[in-house]
Amino acid sequence: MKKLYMLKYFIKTILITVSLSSFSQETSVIDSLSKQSVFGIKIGLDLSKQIRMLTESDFKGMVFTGDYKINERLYLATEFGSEEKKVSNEVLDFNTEGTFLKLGANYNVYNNREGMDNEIYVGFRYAIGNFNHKLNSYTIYNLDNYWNQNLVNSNIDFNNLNANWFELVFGFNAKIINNIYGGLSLRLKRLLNQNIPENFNNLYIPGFNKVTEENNIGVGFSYSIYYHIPLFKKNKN
Amino acid sequence: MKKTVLIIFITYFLSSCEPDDICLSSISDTPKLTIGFFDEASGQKKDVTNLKIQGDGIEKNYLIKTTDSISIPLKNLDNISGFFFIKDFDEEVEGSGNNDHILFNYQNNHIYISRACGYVSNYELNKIIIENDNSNWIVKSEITNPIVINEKAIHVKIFH
Repeated sequence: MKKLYMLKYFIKTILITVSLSSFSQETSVIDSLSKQSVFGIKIGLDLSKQIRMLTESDFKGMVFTGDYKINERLYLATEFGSEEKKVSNEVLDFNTEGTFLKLGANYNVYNNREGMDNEIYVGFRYAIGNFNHKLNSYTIYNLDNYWNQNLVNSNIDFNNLNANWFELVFGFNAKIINNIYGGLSLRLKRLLNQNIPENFNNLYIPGFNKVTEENNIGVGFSYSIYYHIPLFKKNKN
Repeated sequence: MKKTVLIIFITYFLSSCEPDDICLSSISDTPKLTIGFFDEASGQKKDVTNLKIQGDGIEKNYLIKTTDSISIPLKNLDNISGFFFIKDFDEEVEGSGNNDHILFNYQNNHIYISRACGYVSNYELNKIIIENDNSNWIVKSEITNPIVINEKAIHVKIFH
């Protein structure tokens, strides 16, 4: 129920921003030869989650992305969303669901030609996530199976868990048409803190991805489509 | 300068990568209950000849051998495991030997190990019941170590 409300809220926000931006577009006639650069915010959707939903069974996710241009090089960037994932291997079967928020910045290393607005960037994010696990079943590691009682159907909930982590981001954004941008990013993640559930572990963290037990490293990939909302123009230099 | 910072970052991120999807054989599995057989009079270890052990409700034998100590598996979903301990069993003679019905009552503790190994079970022994059949070969039992977390020490002494 809560999720439904969140979804409605997200959709409303997008509709409002899209209608606002189309309105603002009418008033701004961009002269590509002028020495002005357009400042604004980009709002987008991480389509890699939608692709994962098609290719990966037992995964659901919705992630919104946004950035705000501070100067020619620097962008404030954010992502927020939610994920649901069912993990089952030979010995464990559990569901994880949760929400996360990431804040950080991108530094554009690409030198744009006049009138262009593309990015090749390096950046970082600080992320926080809240999540729950539901352990559906597990196997008792027992070389002896005389009693045939090594599979346990458990239905144990581990609720109100949280974690925070740091992400190193490499990516690019390119203008597709008018105010539509597309971008790819690769992420290296390092878990900083997590509260580990009693008699279980955080093996998957929404937003972080799979957690390995030997180290704190995670990897990620995103493919986003943005809508750019121009806010104001500034003369270069 | 920028490059150095980047390299430091990447090494920091990638430090100590290991696969964790394999349950290593160095991880010990669920322990069995270890029983030692002792002479009633002297208190010394004493063999039980042709001992057959069979789980209550299971058709398959667990073992048949002459021994002074054995390790038997306990149920992981119940708090009671029942066994038939048959002394002087002869495979060729039907219904041979002295059959004692023995029940172990314990607490099950399932403990998380890892993504690859899952859980192991440990047990806390509460009680042993030897059903009286007027011709028991088992005289008495004693719990010497109620915490079953490994098979190194004897958990239960059976006197006969």
